[in-house]
Amino acid sequence: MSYQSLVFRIALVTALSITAPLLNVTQAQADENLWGYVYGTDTLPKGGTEIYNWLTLRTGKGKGTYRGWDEMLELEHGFTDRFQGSFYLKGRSHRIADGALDEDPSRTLDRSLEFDGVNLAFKYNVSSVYKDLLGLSLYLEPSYSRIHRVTGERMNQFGLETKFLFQKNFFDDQLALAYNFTLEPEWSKFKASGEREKELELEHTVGASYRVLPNWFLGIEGRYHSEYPDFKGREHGAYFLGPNIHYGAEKWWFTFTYLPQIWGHPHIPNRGGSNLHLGEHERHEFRLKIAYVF
Amino acid sequence: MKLLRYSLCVPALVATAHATQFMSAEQAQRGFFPAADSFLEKKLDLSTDQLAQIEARSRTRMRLKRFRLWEALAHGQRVGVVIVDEVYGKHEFITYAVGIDPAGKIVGIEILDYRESYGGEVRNAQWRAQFVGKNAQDRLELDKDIRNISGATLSCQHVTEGVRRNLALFHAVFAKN
Repeated sequence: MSYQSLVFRIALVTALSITAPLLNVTQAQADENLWGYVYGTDTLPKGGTEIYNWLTLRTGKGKGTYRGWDEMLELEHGFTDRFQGSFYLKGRSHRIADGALDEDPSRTLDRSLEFDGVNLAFKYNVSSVYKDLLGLSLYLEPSYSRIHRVTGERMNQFGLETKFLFQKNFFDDQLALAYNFTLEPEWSKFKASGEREKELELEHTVGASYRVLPNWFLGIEGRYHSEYPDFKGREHGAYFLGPNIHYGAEKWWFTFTYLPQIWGHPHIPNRGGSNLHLGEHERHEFRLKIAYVF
Repeated sequence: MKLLRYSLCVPALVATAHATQFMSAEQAQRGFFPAADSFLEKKLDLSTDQLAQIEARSRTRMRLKRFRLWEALAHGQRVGVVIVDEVYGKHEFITYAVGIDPAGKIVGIEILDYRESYGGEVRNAQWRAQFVGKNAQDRLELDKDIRNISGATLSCQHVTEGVRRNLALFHAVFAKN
């Protein structure tokens, strides 16, 4: 880990650690993430606060070397029993070599963790998964990013992620099923070329999680992601499916998901994984979330 | 290796979950029935018919066939029954006791063990007092005749369902005795 990365990480942790106690925490309560990518409908109760560390590794372009690390530190707070807000600090690092990027085979990059941007997120619980027929929450996440997710290029990108979250539990809440529908328009301007882009991202995610032992949950989650440049025709789409494990204790929890791509379009010739889209996506994604409950 | 290195850099997150016992079963028994001079432990193996009857009456799932209860006795006469049961919390089980008088009415409920960091408001005396006097004929439903505690919905729901199940169990086992 470079000195710069270490300083960045310490700054993130310190900033959020100082901020959390200022939020008049009256009660420790967890809005636990049973999945890495799928969101449940729970919200933190009024006064509840958590800090999350998200770490995602994306790797495998079918050629060359590609590793993209996305890190987020999230401070989440319940303003009412139904409404919560979050603040994210984002970091990103890349290792790109040997023609890994199909659109720019000559691009090489070895950049350690750098500040990427900030997000805000708001979640409102419409109906409770524990006492109503179906859990439903609405989610809105405006975002700013300065490093391109795939290429690592410098840019200014603004996004507005909108999610409809559904959850249904069975067997005394031992089994949880969830579905998310996500739309996210994004506006980008690349610093080097001055090129502007706008696109719409559409995503369906589904998850199932079962409590196999006290504290331990095993699950599976699936994700379909597609993008529509200029808000018009679909440019690409990819399906991901993989297992996850979740552990929840009194003051902390973690969730780990492995989400490989199982099918994607359009396929890129002369690369491994003939049924995959390895341009805008990767062959493997790993995500670890660790949360501390105040 | 890199993943491990990253993970080690997050704040000191590791804390150990621990069970908090607020009351023993014996303390709950004496609290419910102070006039009793002894408590006779019984382990009930419910028949298939009884299980079906309890599930239908309580509108809940019977996870176990065997129940542990105590008959409260005063001068050899049964003055009540205490059932100790567990329901699912978010991570672990919530252990609670229900006291039921010979007429099938709830005398009180007590939370014995609570192992979660959240939803602990079910220990609130005012919330638990809502159950006193209820019997198997009552609806015992959250947001209907039992008030929910916002932010502790899972615990409220599961304890309410558990109490409903115990009243149905009492009705199936003792109502005709």
